[in-house]
Amino acid sequence: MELTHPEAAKPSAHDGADADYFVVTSTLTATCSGYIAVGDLPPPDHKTDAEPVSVLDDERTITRAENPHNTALRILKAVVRPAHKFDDRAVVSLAMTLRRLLVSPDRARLTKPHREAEKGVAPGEWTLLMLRTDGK
Amino acid sequence: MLSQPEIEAIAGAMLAAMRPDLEETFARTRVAAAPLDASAASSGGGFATPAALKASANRPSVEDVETAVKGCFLAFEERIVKLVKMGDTLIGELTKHFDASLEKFLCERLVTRMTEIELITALETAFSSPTIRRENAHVLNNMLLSVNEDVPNDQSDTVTVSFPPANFLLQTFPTVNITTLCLCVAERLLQASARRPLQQQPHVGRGKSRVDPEAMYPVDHAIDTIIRGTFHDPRCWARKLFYILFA
Repeated sequence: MELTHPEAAKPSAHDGADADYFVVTSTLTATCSGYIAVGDLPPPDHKTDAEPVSVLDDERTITRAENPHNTALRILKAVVRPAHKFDDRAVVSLAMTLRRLLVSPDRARLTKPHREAEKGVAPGEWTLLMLRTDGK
Repeated sequence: MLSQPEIEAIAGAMLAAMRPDLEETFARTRVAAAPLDASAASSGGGFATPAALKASANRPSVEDVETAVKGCFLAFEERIVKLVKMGDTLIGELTKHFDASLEKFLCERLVTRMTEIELITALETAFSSPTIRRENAHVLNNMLLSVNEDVPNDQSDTVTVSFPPANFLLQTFPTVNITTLCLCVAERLLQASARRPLQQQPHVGRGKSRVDPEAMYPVDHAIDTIIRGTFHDPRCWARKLFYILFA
């Protein structure tokens, strides 16, 4: 993930929607089975793998653009459900945090144990948002 | 039976009470019967002079006194009849409402004798999920602004506040914030309830308008449980939207 417009100026609270400042470009690698090669290791065989002659065989690269501001608005609406009009500054503050989380080079949240994260009292324990290994 | 001194005392008190009315009646009677002053008559006016009024008012006749006293008693009787009618109506209305209230209150169980499940069921009836979520929207909005105000955008964490954790025993940043949020929502719900007439308030929270986090009663804990329960489904939907960003 990377910012689509890294040079874009930070918008005001009222101009946050559709602002280039928040747009993030995601590049994903997709296969039929969901397994991809990691480094030199090839992906494991799986029954859902496409036939070698199929056009679906091999890895595909997908690029898409996300707007954390729109996602923040949808998340807030999902949390409270009623058609409440959130303050623009509140939406932007959530969008800013999401943007920072998405483009952050620090990926420690993906490997940090949940037990350790649960003891953290400081803000920004993103590991708590990640899926646990036990599926919870 | 009243003794003679008591009867005399009552009569004296009644006379003292009627004295202003009697004096006014005498004055009116004397004014009507007073001879017109020559100057007033010549100027076209039909009013007696103060001197004539004073002279004639000092000479009340027995008939006048009888008429005045009788009039006072009749007026007093009329007032009593009106008061009795008004009292009957008032008592009837009060009794009707009192009976209805008594019947309702007697059927209500005391909070101290209710089990936790009964308490939660009663509170869920009083505070529905849409009501809780509506109040939650206001509080969450203010909390996001507050967090953003305390910490600049570059370091703030407004994401975990929106994803309330299931385990609230840990004193983590999101847990502390969600606990505060739940207390605020509970207080708003109770304040809205307290603003309604007493009979329309849920009996489990009647007269209650605030939550003290240092001394929470069973009702407070039950409200807290209900509020947290309403977060379960929205939390799942919000997490789904969050994971879409990474999928």
